[in-house]
Amino acid sequence: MMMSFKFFIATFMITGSVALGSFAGFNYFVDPMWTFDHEHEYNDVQTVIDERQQKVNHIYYSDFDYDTLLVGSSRSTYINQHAFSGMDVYNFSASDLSFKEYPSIINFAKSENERDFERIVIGVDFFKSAVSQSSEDMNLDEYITTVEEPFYRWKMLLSEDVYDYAKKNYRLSNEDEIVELRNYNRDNVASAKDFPEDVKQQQTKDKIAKFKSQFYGDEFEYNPEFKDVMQVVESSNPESEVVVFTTPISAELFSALVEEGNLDEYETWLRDMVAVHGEIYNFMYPNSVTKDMSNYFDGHHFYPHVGDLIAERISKGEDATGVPEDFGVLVTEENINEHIAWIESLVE
Amino acid sequence: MLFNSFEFIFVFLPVMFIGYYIFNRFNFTLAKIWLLCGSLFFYSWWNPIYLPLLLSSILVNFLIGIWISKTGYKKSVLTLGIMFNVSLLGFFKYYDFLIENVNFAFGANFSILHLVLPLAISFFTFQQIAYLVDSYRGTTKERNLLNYALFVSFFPQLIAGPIVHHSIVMPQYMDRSNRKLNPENIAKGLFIFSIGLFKKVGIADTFAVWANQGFSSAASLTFFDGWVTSLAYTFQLYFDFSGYTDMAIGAALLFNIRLPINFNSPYKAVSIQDFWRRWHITLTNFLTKYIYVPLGGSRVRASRIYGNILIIFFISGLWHGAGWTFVVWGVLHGLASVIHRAWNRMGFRLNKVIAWFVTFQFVNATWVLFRAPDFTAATQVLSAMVGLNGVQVPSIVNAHLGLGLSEEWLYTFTLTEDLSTTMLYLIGAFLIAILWKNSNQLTENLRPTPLHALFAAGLFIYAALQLQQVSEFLYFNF
Repeated sequence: MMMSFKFFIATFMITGSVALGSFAGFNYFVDPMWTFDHEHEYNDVQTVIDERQQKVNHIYYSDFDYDTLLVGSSRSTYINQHAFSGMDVYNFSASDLSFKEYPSIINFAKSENERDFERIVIGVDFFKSAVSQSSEDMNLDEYITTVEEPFYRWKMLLSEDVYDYAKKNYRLSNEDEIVELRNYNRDNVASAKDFPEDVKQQQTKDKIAKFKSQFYGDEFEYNPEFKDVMQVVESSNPESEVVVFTTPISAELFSALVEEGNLDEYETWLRDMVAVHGEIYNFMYPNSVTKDMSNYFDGHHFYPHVGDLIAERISKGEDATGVPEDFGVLVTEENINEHIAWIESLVE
Repeated sequence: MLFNSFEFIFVFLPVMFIGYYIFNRFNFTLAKIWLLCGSLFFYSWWNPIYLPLLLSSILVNFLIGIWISKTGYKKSVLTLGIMFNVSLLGFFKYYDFLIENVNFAFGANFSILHLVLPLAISFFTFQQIAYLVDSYRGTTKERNLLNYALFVSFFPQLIAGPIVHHSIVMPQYMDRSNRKLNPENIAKGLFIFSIGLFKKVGIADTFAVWANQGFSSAASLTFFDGWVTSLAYTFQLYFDFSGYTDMAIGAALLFNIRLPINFNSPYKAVSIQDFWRRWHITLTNFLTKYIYVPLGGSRVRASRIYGNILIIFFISGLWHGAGWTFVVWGVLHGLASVIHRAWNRMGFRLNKVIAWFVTFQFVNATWVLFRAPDFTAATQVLSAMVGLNGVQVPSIVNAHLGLGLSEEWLYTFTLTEDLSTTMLYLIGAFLIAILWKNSNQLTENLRPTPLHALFAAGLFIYAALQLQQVSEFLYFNF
């Protein structure tokens, strides 16, 4: 069938517009890149694509206004930002986050917040203070450059990759399922997959073996730059209270650390933080929470309900309710020697 | 701004298109000013720092063109003009290369400037040299700065050609009938643009991943993956460059400007001379008309013709890149052309299929030099292709074909994630390049049927959805 060139153009344009418009519409509806704010039952389970980019996008395109910023690696992602009392917290934690990224994350969030944060809460991980985990100079620059590209939020709507994620999110939301290690809702709160007990045990066993062979023992070399970076965070944010806490790994994994001979580095790490910040919350030692393996899905990452305990302890200190007494110690310059001696006695 | 970008396709091009025809309703000059301003914006998008360079080059060449037509010292002014252009290109493109070689040869320690090559300088320099030479010959005379500036900077051809000859486009810029919307041009423009976009995004970019992987691990390649690497690059280059040219031709057609074709199924060539009549045609035309012919062309004795051919290909090699691998690539093509001519002179003829096979193999092998970062990598890939690094067969091929080869002949293919997909792509690209009509032929004979419109729309939709890639963060729970 022959038609005129005008109809050719019309056919081309209509087909193209309808098809691309449908893709864009669906991507917008589900919004897997977090470039819009809408929330409904078909997008309330979001898969993790790249948390840095997703959270940068979320901050950049939302009315970002918080009094507290939480920064940390994958363990801290499981802390519900709404579990903190008396604080309005945004949780910018992401996978494999290096301490070297802290300044750039804080600076970006601060600039988008258009005011200083009252508090900056940092969840630190012992193994991330190793040279092997922090040799690269990392920052958020490439993510910020990306989000600042012209038409970024619009052009992401026309992406087959985004469409694939949107389909997945739609399915997960529709079924209200958490099927991955971490899925988010539209309010930046992560949920973790619930594993059967035997799977948890196997994952814990594998994780401990991995830590023994790759991170602990002779493989572990404490990076003295850690202290410098924490000092930079402190001095660059004079208007903010910097609250540092250690993430609670399971007691089994902590024992592996001790067995591999890294207790000295652990103590140095604690002392460095107390020297810089004056006081920190330590959750990383054998206690009733870390000894209970049901709190972890791999011995390293705790479930969100543990995150709630951490938030409660940080929010209310000794007045925290529902938090086991032995979970979370405020370590200060005054009590650090005593605290370390106590931990040593626990692991002897 | 790249043609294969959201900004160009969904914002810049529609805005330029709508603006052009709106302004044309009021004033043709205004519409051309719109087109010129848009082209300069397009040029500046990547890096505005070189916009003054482009503007100065346009202005100086325009004035020299006028000067040549008025002065009695035409040759001197032409020489001055050519020197200006060559110096500009030489400084930005070849200064660091020259200094590196001087430092190497004489043990000197002159500073490298690490100059960023201004976008499109190789193209707009050649276009303007041609213009000056024709001004000298008296075959062109342009007194309208707006038309001249548009001839140099018209955005569809500015970045990567085709190298446009003023005699082809200048009359089109002055033709008032081009003010009106022309459905046939628009349809053909959309059609060839879609094909070009698909060639670039759907085909070339896929091959690029495999070619990059191969060249970055050149030392470990054996026979099979050596060929996958070289063929992947051969098809990447063709579909990338010809796809980009298709997009240029398509975008220009939306404004009723017909740009010359630049590729005519080059991998169908049955001789190296034939190849250069089909590959980057506008460059070949420029080199022939403005260097080869003035050197004597084919009217001089055979030995001088051969010398001239080598000079042309030496320049071509250098034009393609400031590096010795490009020079050697150019010279090899020159030598092949000389051999081909001598062969013909002696009255020999090859069977067409054998001639095609030899030509394709030569082109494929020499692209290795064109792509390799240095001679070491090039030698490694070529060595692998001739079996010097061992002839091994991927285990999966052995299993599928039931070859029954022993372990020493087998290895695990790791160059790409999926060997079957790679093979399908290579065979598909080969068939498209060798057997199918090319995009220019398809466009020229386009019949406005629903099937053609849906075909073009399908290519466009697929390619548009590939423009934004999202990569997952790999280290999830650390």
